[in-house]
Amino acid sequence: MIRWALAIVIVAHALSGHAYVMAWRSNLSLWTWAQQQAPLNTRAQFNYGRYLLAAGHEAEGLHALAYASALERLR
Amino acid sequence: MTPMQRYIFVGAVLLLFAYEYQSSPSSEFVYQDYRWSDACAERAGTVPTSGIRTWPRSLMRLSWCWQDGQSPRAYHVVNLALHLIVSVLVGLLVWRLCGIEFAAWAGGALFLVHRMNIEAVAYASGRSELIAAIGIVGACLAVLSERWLLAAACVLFGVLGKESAVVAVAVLPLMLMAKGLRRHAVVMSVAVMLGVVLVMTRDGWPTPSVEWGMVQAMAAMRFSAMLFLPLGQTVDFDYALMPQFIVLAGSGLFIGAALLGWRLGKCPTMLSLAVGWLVITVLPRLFVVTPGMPFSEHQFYTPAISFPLAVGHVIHAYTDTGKL
Repeated sequence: MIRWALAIVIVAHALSGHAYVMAWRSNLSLWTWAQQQAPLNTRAQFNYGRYLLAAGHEAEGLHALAYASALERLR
Repeated sequence: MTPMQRYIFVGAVLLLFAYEYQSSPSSEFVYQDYRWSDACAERAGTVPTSGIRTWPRSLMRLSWCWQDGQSPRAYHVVNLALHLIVSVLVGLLVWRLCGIEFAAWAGGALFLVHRMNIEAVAYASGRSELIAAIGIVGACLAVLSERWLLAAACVLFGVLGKESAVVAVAVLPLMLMAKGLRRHAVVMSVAVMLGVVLVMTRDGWPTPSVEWGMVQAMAAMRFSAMLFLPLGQTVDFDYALMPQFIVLAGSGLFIGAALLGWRLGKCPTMLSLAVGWLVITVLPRLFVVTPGMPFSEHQFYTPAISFPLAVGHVIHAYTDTGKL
C-alpha cells in the first residue's frame, strides 16, 4: 500500500514539477510565472512589465507597468 | 528488493527526473546569474566587485570561473549532476539512519524529483546550495561512520560552497544522538554554542529583529507545508502582504515544531531527527538578516532534507507493523 502511495507522490512531483522547471527558462518566463502566482505582488508585476518591454511586447509591457504602478499606490 | 526491482526502480526514477528537468539544460541565465558570471571578471579586476568575493563561497566562484565562457547549458548540466549526487547521499543517509533499504530508495527518489528543490537546481546560482548540501550530508554520513576528519573536511567543503553550510556543526549532534553517542552529542552541542558565542563576540552580535524572525519562521512553515503539498511556488512571494495573524500563527508553529523536536529527541527516532533537522537548519535564518527578500525556495534546499527523513520514519513505522 505504502509503496503505491510513494510511487504516486514521486510521479506527481515529476509530472507537475515539469511546468515549474519550464518557468526557469528565461527571465520573462520566470516573471510571467511569478506574476501569475501572486497577482498582487508589485515587484513581480514590475519585473514582468520590464521583461515584456525588453522582449518587444510594448503594449502588454506598458499595461503591466501601469497595473504595477496602480498596485504600488494602493499599498 | 531484488536486483531486478532495483534496476527498474532506478530506471523509472531517472526517467521521471529527465522528464521533469528536460527544459533546464536549454534555459538561459536568469535573475542573479549574471552576477556570478561576472565573478571571474571581478577576480581579474575588470569589473567592480559585487560583494561575493568572500572566502566561504570560493568553491562556488571557482566552479563558475572553471566554466567561464561556456553556454548556460553547461552550467545547468553541472547543477543537475550535483543534485543527483545530493539525492544519492540523502538516500544513503536515510539508509544509515533507519536501516531499511526501501526507505533509502524512496527518500532519495523523493528528494530527486521533489518540486521544492526545483529552484535550487534549475537556477544556475542555486549551485551554492547544492555544494553546501553535499558538504552537510557528507559530514553526517562521515560522523555515522565515525570518520571524524572526513566529517571536518566535508563541513569545510560545504562552507566553501556557501557559508550557511556551517549549520552542519549543529546538525552533527543529531547524528551522534541517533548513533547512541549521547555524551558525544552533548559535548559537541556545548562546543558549538561556545563557538557561536566566541565568533559573535568577535564579529558582533546580529541586531535582533523580532519582525524579521517572525516572517522567516512563517516562511519556513510555509515551505514545510509545501514539502507535503507544493502549491503556490513562486520566485517572489510577497511576505509583506501576509496578514499579521498568519505571521503570528507561522511563528507559533515553528516554536511548536522546535518544542516537539526537543521532546521527541529524548528518545531519538527518524521523526525527531526530521523535526530537529528542520528546526536547526532554519534557525540561523531567523537571526541573520539577509538583503533583499526573506526566505527563498532555493535557500530551503538543505532544510528540505527533513522530508526524506520523515518519509523514512513512516516507512519504518509500517515496517514495524509488517504492513510494507
